[in-house]
Amino acid sequence: MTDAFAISVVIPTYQRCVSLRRSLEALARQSLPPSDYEVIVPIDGSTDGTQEMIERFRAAYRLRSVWQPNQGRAAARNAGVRLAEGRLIVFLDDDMEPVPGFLRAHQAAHPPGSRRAVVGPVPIADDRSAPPVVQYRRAGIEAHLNRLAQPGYRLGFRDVYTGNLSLRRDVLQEVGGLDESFRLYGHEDYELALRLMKAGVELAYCPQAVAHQHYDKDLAGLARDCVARGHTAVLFARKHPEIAASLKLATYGEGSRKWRLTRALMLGISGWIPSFPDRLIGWLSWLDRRPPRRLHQYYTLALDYFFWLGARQALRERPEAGGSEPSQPAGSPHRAGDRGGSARRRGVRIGLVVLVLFAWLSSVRLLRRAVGDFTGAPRPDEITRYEARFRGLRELLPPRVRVGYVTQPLTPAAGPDSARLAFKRYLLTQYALLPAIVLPDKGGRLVVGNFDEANPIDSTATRGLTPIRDFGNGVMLFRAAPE
Amino acid sequence: MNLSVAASLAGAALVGLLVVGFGWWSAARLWRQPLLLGGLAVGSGLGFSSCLFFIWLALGLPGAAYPPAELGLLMLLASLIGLAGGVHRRLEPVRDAGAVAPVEPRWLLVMLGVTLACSTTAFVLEAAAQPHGGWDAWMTWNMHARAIFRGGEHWGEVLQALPAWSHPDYPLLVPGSVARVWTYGGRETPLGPASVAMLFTLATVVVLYSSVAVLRSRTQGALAALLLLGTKFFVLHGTSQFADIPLGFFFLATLALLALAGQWSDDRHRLVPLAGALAGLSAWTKNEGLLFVLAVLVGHGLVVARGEGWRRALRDARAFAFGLAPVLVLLACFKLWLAPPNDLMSDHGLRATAARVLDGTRYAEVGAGFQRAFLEITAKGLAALVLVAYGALAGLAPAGSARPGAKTAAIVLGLMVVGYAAVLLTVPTPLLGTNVRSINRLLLQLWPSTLLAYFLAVRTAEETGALAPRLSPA
Repeated sequence: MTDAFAISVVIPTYQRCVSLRRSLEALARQSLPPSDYEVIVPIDGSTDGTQEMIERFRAAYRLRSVWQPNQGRAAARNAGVRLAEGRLIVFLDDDMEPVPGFLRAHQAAHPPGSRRAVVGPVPIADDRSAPPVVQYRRAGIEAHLNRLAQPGYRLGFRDVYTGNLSLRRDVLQEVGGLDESFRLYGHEDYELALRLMKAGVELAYCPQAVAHQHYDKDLAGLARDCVARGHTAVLFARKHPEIAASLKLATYGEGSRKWRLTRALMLGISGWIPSFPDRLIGWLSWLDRRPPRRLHQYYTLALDYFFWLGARQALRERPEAGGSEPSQPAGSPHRAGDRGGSARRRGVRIGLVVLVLFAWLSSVRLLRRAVGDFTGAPRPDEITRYEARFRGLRELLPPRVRVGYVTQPLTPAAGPDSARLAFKRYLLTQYALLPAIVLPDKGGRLVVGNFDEANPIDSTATRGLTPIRDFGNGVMLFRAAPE
Repeated sequence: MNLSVAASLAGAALVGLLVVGFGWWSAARLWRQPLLLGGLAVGSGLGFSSCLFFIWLALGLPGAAYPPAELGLLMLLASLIGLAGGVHRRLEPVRDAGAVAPVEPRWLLVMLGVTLACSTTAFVLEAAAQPHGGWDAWMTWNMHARAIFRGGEHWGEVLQALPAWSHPDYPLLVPGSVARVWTYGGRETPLGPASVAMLFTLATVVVLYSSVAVLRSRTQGALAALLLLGTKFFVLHGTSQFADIPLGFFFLATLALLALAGQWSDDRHRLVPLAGALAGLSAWTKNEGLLFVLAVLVGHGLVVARGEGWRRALRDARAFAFGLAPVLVLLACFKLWLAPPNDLMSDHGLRATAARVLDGTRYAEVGAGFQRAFLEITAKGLAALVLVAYGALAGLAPAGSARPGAKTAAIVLGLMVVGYAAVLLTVPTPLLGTNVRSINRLLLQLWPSTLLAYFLAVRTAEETGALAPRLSPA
């Protein structure tokens, strides 16, 4: 394919219509003639009217867009590159506002015959009124850019970012473009940079190719990015095990002991309470409104936790078929994570078996007891026998009558539970004789006598009562003497 | 089984099916869960039919005429529903849903079957050994049932005349159910109360299994059912014919329906009133049910208000009250016109109550009572240990539609325990010892709901990866 333009600017975008418009307007103010460059916007599944905005946008340069279902930034960039007709590809993020000399600076950074990948600065404006999380990001990026700008600094693959990157289209095609398996945020730039380095491409920094970053993410968005970065770090390490030791993944064992313990605890809690990360974000957002002195330190720790959360989730997933396992850097949680996951699964399985066995053994013990109770129980049972004693009397008593109750006095032989036994006898008498109401004493015109069969009727108990009928088995009916 | 007993129980189940399964308040999705529908129909049917029986008797109609009237009405309603294609229409989605693959591992299913067989056999043997039930059953519930059945047209007077130790102020769900069964056969048989007790016990297990299965997974449901069947105290109290098991059933069914209402949002306006009606039946079972009604209103209200706003909470409270009101009116009629005052409510002057609340020894006694009861129900704490260990390994369930149900259940259970403790701390001193000894039964009432809350809150074995996820029920 011939090069119709000097530069093709590729701006992948997702749900950032307003921000993208600002980038397109900034590109219209470039010092390079508009006929020298084109802009291609791969729309990665946006549904916020980005497509319509681009169709209405009046630009002096050639502006094209391509829409694809959301597949991630790497796939979107490749889709843009496939459409590109420029000799040089400039990747720009959709929240960037390039300065007027931006494209000219990138062009100048690629002298004829060079094989370079050039990153430009992406500073965030120093705005004291910006939310604390933006200021935190600004400080981080500023430190990184200062490092890149140091004289003699040699860029490594970890210094490359695709938010402001230029390279020759043929070189990009030579290395196969970006790896589209990086669907989540992060590490697709490192991965590309690594392959570029292996292909002999020089990594360079061009301080003049400035694109100001309008950082609009809140803490939740930043945390999501960190979780995604944890995921993609694992993917990157699996694809390039030889560099795994130089990644953040290899630093799990580093840091203060207190923080490592806290982080391990937080990761453990996240396993049990899936809403914990959201709670943490909520708590930090609350702190945002009353920023304490050490807020940035809290951010660093929290984002470190979010990174490891994503990494742990990715480590527990099976690598895709054909993917090679990375070597194990010292201190990496890779094996520990897998071991932890499978150990936990095994633990749950054992717990489940224990729970089932416990329930089953309990029911077996219950059955044994029931068999014992059934075989040992007298037949008929106590209450049925009791009722049988009173059957004749019940048939004789008129309904709703109130009858008195008399029984022999308690003897010490009945034992310590004698009061309860006596009360039970009275209750059973009531139970048997309903609907007659049995009063607990001799009151009433009629009195029921309930005596042990073995004992003779006690004369003191029945004093003043006139027997009416003896029903046998110790059951008698008396008439009370008139007062 | 005695034919008349079978007919009366089938009639009750049909009453329950008509209430739960038909009418505008009936959630169509319940028909896709035949076990849940069946469990709810059986338990609530016994409750609703006891209400109908009470109304019949309170109107002064002869008890003997009730069975033909009830069966006639049921047949008429069933015919009308059949003619209107109601059953066909409700069964359609069940047929459309196709066969649902079994989700439990086979061995778990086998263990559940074996445990169910063991516990059911134990129940039958224990019931045969003591056909009249335990002390409280014949002294209170069956005594009241006899008063109703033997009292004839004067049943109310006989009931009122019963001595205080029989607690004639207790609500009439269980006695009414038992007396209704006897009325069907025209004679008393111990099979009546034993069958009612068995149905409530099994319905509790079925509702626990099926609601957890629907809300979480079948494996989870099976574990919950296994734990309940393995609770000796639960099965033995079932055989003892105590009202705590039916009460536990209504607590569980109410909380399960509220949890389902959170999941089946399009059926929410139907499920919440039904939950209200079942909570009302708990108050018709025992006085503790009134505390439960309050606890549910507070617990569900708080959870819904926090998650969906006060407007939604008020709408739910209104729907709940709509289902609750008829049963509460019935209960109020009973309490106002029939029941003598409760002995727990006597001697409640401000000074006397304050003296009791300030008495530290009562706290110690009540606390020790709770501890003893807890150990008794959980097999010396073993069941609790197993549950805690399993929960620690599995972790909490991810945020989902069952989470509000679990939260509601947990808050309600907490409020109930606090409420029970408060009552015990203020109870007149002579009654304290007896009441502290019965804490085990108070906690037993909450045990099925505790298992529901636990298994809704804990991750399923599939979610932890311990078991491969299978096809979930529709």
